[in-house]
Amino acid sequence: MEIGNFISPKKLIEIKRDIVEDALSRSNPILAMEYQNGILLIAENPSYSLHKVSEIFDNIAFAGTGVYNDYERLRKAGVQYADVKGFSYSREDVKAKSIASSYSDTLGEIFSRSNMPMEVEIMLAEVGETQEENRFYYITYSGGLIEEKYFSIIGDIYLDISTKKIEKNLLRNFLKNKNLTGSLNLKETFRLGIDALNSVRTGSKINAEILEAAVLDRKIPKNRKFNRFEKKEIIELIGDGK
Amino acid sequence: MGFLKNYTESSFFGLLKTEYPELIPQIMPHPEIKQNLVSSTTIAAVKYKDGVVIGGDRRATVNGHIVINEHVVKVFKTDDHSAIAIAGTFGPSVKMAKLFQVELEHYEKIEGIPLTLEGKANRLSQLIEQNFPAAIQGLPVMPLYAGYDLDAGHGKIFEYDITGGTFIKPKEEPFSTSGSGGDRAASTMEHFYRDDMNESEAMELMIKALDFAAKKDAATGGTSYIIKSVSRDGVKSLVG
Repeated sequence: MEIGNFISPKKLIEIKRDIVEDALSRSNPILAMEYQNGILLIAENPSYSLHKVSEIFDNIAFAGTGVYNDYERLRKAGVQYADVKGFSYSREDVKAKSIASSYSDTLGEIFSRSNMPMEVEIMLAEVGETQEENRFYYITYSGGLIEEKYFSIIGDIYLDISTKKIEKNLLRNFLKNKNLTGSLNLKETFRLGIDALNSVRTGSKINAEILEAAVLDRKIPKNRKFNRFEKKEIIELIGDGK
Repeated sequence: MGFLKNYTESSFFGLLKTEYPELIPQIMPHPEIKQNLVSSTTIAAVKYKDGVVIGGDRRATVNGHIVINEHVVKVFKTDDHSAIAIAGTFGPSVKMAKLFQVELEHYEKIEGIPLTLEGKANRLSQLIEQNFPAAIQGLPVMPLYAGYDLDAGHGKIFEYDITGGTFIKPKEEPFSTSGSGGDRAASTMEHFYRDDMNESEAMELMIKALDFAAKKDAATGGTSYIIKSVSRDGVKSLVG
């Protein structure tokens, strides 16, 4: 920064925020929701191989939205961190909380120190042995770390209406089924997620072609609980209910 | 930045070498120490119709005749479609098996798809090669690696020497053995092998081969055996 072109720190932060929020408002939302056997993650993503939802470690999944290379870099760093930790200590010592706080540190540092912040929003979901042990962490582009319960949403949140609509819709549905919280089966939960996404869409309804979905299923009889659904499995899950 | 690493490739071993060199197993014996640390053993793998059966005994010895443990595990599942059996010095061998497991998983997660079976076998060869300086000083790692090749539709067995040299067992010799009891196990396999065996017949043959080896080789034995099968359906524990 040259002398004579002084920009106040406050203004600088505002400029950075504008850049990121502009990019993020064009990103698609990603939902993570509890169901009977674990956690379901649904993302709008027309790509077949550039994933937004992926595996970090045994019972931990990652979701990122915004600029691909930014969240992809964070995803890889998460896998590296988890694998090194699991290798040098034990698999049980790898926890979403410590990865989330590393993400938070990193994003916070980049946001305040660099002129070009990362245009991302990321989420970590961790399935526990019981529903009470499920964890959702949502990390903002500036390093904010928020823990959520029952479900978590990232992406698209700065388009004022859609945000609230998504959150409210899901919240309402979850509240409506209060006694069933997390007790819905996979298909029902999927349905609920699709309904929530549809309720905030202005264009055509969502279809399997533009959906990416995966679960952390605690019933999978091995360490790695992450399971990505193929397109045909997604079509099966959505059923013929258009 | 501490969390974001400069290393961006897909190998876990590469990541350790670049960013965490202190985590790489690097035991180097003093050249004058003459203690024989090699744990003699018997491990074997044999193909059957739908895959490969791989197994080993559970005895660990020092100097070839002092039994120090009767319950060690020498056969490990490495991913959904492969397993490794280890012979050589126990410590470095187990560490290498563990490192290899993480290597395969790490690659799969970073790239989004698993390695091909040949790719996995080559990675293992490179890990063994890294151990060569220790191997010539008496701490060898010489595993057998068995996998199901999903593209080819059949099981494969890979043998290694201490330099990491890889040898894929051909159709004509659909089994492999290693360790101090390996010769007897191989004779058993040669005598009783049939190419139309199913999983349980291959398991019976494996038990027979390990029994024969244990009879004459003092370093082979232990509480029971560990035997796994690798097929299209995954890795299954048959014994142990």
